[in-house]
Amino acid sequence: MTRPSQQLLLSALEQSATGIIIFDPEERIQLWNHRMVASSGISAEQALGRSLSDIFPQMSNSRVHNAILTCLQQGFPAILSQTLNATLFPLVVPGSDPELHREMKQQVQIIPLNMEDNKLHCMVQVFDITAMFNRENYIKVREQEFRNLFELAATGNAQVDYSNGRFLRANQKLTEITGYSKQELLNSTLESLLHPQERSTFRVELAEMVAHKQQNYKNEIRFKIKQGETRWGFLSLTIATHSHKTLTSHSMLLVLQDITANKHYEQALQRAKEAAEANNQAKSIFLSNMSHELRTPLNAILGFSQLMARDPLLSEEHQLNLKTINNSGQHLLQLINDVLEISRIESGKLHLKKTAFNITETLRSMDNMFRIRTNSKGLIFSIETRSEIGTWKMGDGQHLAEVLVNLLGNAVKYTEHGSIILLVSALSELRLRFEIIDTGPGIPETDKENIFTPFFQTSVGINKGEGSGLGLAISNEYIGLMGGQLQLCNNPDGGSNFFFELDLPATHEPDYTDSPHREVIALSTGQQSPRILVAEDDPDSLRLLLELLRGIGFDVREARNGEEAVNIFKDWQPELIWMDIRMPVMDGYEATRHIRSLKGGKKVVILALTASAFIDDEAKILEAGCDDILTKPMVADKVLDMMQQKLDLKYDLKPIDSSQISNEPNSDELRLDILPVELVLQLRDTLYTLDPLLIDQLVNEIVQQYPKVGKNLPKIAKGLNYQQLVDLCNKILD
Amino acid sequence: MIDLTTDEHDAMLEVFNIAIGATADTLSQMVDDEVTLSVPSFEFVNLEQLLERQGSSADLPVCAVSQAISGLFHTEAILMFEEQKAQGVIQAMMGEELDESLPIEEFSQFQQEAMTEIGNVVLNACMGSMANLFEAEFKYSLPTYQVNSYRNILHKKTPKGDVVLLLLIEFGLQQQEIQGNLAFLMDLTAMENLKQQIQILLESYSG
Repeated sequence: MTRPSQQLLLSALEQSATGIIIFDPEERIQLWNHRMVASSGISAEQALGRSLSDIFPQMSNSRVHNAILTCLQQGFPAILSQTLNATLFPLVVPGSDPELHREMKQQVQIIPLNMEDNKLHCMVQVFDITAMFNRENYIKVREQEFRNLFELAATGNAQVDYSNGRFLRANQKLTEITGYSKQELLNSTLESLLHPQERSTFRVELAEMVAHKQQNYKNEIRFKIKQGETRWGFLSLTIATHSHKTLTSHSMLLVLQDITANKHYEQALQRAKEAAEANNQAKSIFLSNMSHELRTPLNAILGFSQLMARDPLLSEEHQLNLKTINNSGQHLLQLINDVLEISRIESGKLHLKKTAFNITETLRSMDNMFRIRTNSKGLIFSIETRSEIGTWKMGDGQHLAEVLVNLLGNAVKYTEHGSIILLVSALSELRLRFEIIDTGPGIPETDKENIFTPFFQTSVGINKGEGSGLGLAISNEYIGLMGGQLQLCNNPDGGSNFFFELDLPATHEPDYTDSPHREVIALSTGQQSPRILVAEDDPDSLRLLLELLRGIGFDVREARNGEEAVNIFKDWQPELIWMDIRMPVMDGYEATRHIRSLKGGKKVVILALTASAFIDDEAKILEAGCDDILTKPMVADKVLDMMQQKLDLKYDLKPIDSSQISNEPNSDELRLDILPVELVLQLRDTLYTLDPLLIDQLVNEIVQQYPKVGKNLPKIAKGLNYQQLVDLCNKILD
Repeated sequence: MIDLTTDEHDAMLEVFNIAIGATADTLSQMVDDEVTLSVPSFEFVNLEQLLERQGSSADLPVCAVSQAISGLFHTEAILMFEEQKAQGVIQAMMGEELDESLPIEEFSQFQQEAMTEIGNVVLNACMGSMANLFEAEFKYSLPTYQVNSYRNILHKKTPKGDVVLLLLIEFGLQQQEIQGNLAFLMDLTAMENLKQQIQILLESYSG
């Protein structure tokens, strides 16, 4: 093998892309190649024969200089890196913009050369690593940015090994949340951090996430901190796949937030909500009891005090006392009704019924109701309409009438002189505006804000000692439910003006002939007479049902309480039971449950009777095992319909007298004269209360008991033509 | 195997400590922070025995900088750091926070270069002091950097049955104590030469 010529070797060194310098033993430069010329700007002629300090005085005593000297003296090679040496040779990157004058980053190798004379020479190689250095720095800065984002985040962050759940890195916040140091976290797994009771579920959920190729896991989960305390966290895991060229790795990004405080707050809220609901439930039960227990004795008090007042032998003083009793009783009754109504509204149990109603009739009934009272007080009372307001409207006419009664009632109560006007104007085909204008004392500016608040009364109202402070609140709620707003302004010449606007679409007169109208007179011939048990403690209700059912042809037995009902059921095995819910000894719930557990108890139809004003009892009743519910007051049609449906019965019906149905209701056809005097008296006094609930209930009872009184009675009552009925009663009583 | 008297042992230890002390100054200048270096102990040990003693830890990766040395005797000088120690050295010398989990296989080009330079400085210093001591001249190759298991590094560099002069080196860097091993791998001839030189040295001291 021939050795390369010296010429060739020299040329190779000269042309090398690496900067090369060769020093002789006296530290004189023997070689300064092209790359050194290009990067230093010093020509070979300038460099050759001179020492390093001659060319770069600033390098004298530098590490490079010392390494060269050590190499020449002792033969030590050396590697000098840019990382550990800020400045090596003062060189620039060749070919770079002279303006920029880019400093060359270098790696310097110093290599001893043993020559034949055994003298040490030294070769210095300068590698240009600028590009790599800059690149590495760039990556480092970006990496630092991301590290800071991770590290400084306000949430606990970590990278978790996908395969074994070990922590690969964790940020400062995670150490604060968990109480563990970074090192402790790196030595543990995610699962070990969780509350022991959460671990198995977590494992399953995580496996599911992987199985369904989902990228995310999010959950509220309990974890244990180092101090042993259990805390609530919001944990989110995201699978991150990192791949570059042939290298791929999976890990999970963990984000953990301590939500213990929120959780406690949430639990406190939940408890408060439950407590509030329990309170509300208690309130409902209380009100339900009140409606049942208070109204009945109060009716007796009122009825008898009114009866007594008719005794001509009573002294004037006693008459006066009775009047006080009666007035107070009336007040109390109104108060109870109002409280019930407002609680029904507040609990969202009041639903409006949209039906066709005759608004002209409604206004006429207002006139009927208030004419006498305004006349007796010497007030001018007028009902005026502007534009064509129409006749038949679609809406809740009954509640609208109640609002008008309330507002007019207030106006009459507080106005001593002047006038009361009910003004109805059509704003459009759809929209009507109602105004009640009086010349009373008006509402003080300071009270305006509170006037619709339940139980609020103006000073005038308090001085009068009447009312519950609920009338306006109820009216306001009604109008609100109907989509309007009850408002108030004072008239410039004194007195107040209550007004509201409602959308009441025009409609056709309802076709009564279409409505199913039938009267059951008996069970069909050939129809087996079913055994019916009536469990009811109230003698009137019991009598009503017994008479109705026996009249139709049912085989009926009675029980006065739940226990009796159970016993009769055992002996007699009825096919259907009418079960009153509130009974002494054993109530309807228990009796039903008991019967259901007995032999044949699954088969028997049990229909509940309830006077409860509250719908939420329904669920309880059905849960106890009743098949259906009938709310008192009982209506014969409904009773018979329900029985027909449940027992698949056939009835004989009374042939329909078409002339009777097509006739307009006419009060003259009412046969109140067939009623016992006490009942007429009770009807009149009930009418005086102006309580539609009470009136309807009584009217229904009368119609059930005395069908001959005429079918129009309920209709007139529903239409609030109370004055008409009062007049009739008075006629009979006189 | 070389059996040294207490005097011989102490003399050697002193030589190493003087040499390495000088190195500390160079490193201090490089990192602009105080660096201390010491050799708490050294021993001559048979390679196979050494590996046996290391047990399973002989298979863990270490970071090594080595230089081949020839002259009075032939040897391979290797400076070795275990994974965590190497991370510590890099961290202290380069003044940067290392990723907690950065394995030594993943050291960047610059981290490797820095490690090589540190190894070169330490190895030069030790060999320089030995050369002075024995008044001999050695030839040195450029340092090379590698990551491999303790076992593989030592096996590759030496034929079986050979002896290792093993120095424990302690770096004091930024309140940390970091231990590394400096191994001189020698064949029997080299060992004989070294033994002779030590005796000559001791005679010159006592004479």
